[in-house]
Amino acid sequence: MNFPIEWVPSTTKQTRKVVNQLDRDPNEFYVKTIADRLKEVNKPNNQGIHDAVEDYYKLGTSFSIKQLPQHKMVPIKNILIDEDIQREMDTMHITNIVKGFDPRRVNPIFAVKEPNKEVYHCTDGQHTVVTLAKLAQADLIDEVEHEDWDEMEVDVLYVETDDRSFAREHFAFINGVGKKKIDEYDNHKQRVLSYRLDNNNKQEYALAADKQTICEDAGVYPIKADDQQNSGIPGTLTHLNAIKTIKPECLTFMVNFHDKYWKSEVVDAGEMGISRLLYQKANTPTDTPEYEEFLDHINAIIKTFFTNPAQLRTIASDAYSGYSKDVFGASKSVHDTAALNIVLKVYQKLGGTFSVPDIVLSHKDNGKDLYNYISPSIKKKINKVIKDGKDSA
Amino acid sequence: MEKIQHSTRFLYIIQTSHSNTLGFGVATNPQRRLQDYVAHSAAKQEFYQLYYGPKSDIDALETYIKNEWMPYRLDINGSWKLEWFDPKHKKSCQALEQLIDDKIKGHPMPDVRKLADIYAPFKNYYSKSDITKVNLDHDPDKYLQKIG
Repeated sequence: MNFPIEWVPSTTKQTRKVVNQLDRDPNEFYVKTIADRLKEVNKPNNQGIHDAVEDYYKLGTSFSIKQLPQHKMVPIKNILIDEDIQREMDTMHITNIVKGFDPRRVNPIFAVKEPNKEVYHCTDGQHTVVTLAKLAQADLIDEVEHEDWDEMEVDVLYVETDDRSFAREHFAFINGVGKKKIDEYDNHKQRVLSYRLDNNNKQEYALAADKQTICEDAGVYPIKADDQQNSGIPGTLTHLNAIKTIKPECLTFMVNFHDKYWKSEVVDAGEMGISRLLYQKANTPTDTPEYEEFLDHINAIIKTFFTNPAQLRTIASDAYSGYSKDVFGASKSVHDTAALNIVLKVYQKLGGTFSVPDIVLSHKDNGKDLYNYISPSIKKKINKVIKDGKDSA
Repeated sequence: MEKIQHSTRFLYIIQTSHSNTLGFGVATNPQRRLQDYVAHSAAKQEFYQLYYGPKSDIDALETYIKNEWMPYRLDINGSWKLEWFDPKHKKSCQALEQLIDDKIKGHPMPDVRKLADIYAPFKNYYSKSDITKVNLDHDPDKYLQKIG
């Protein structure tokens, strides 16, 4: 079909290359010593750490090994769970631990010990200790008679103090600032390496490895959000949560979409949202020359009027903020179909006739149209292309 | 108060006169931005080059520079990188200009232009400048040159 703009591939040369941490052969393991890690920490630009150490020097503060938590095997009956310190028990969480129980994965219980008493107030690990109690009571622990389940000794790390506020702070620290949150990339990496290096063929590991291969084959590389070495390199992808639930065939479409149209860019969340919807909401098969031509036109629109998917995401977000304020009375965070909705509306305004996803019909309420909330300068540019097209016809 | 949404922006290259540090940034009013640099450094400053274009193109260029030259960016506190390049990497204004020009040509971004040679470097912090959005929009060919 005759479309007034065409897709122009980028010729920008890529200078940085991704160091793919997951491209490994069996028996290829990376290890670092604590000394290696310390060298990284001691770099002069890690000013925050140097300042913190300097502050300790100024205050004359130092620490003793004796202040570290003590370690002891404690009978379960001596452990108390204070409901005003720990969270409510989550039975479903206990169920999950019991279902997949592996004794090698059990952590010590953290507790505060009352001075001169064998009473331990658990500050972290209530689900662990209840799980162990349940297994012992169910006669599933070889060394324990089921009726003596509360005599079973568990590993406890404790601090002795009568300051209950310490216990409260300890819980908050362990579950808040003191715990580094696990990035979805870390889960993905563990699954992929378990499959690739350790030959563990669990279904979820095989699926993660399959998705990793799909990405790599299209020049897309999942990385950790704070990966200093690879951050910002075209083809890197940090939205691991987005690919976790996507079916392999949809992911294949998405990474091929990136490879064909946006390989000189980082894989943007906005781009992933658009390509996912173009696959999942398509009215026609997505592997035909007609659909490919439609995709050329869609991406030509993104490049000509919005520069790239990341900028389109920002523009759609701003537009949706104004639109939702007028329609719903309050600005809402951007709807996941907003960016594609705008692009499809532009496609139809430019005379596109392909059977587009029904998403084009949405975001048009109370006499308001999301399209009208994009920047006037962009609409002006679109109108000029429409006018030029009519003039030349 | 509603924030004013500008449809065009400037991207500038700066090498500070007092520390010789190379940097870049985005501004809606380059004259005022240069004045800020002068006031903060207590020294005369100039923008080695100034690009002008649609907001989405200029913002994308800024992201591109940040990403492409990420390893060279100054990192003072170990947690975030600045829009300045560490002098130890010996990056030049010319190299940064080439990087930007190549991206504009390669993407391509036909609506982004840079100052015509007679107007660069931009140093109009002390007097009324001709380099204003009104003038550039009215007569782009007089003040700006196409890239590629």
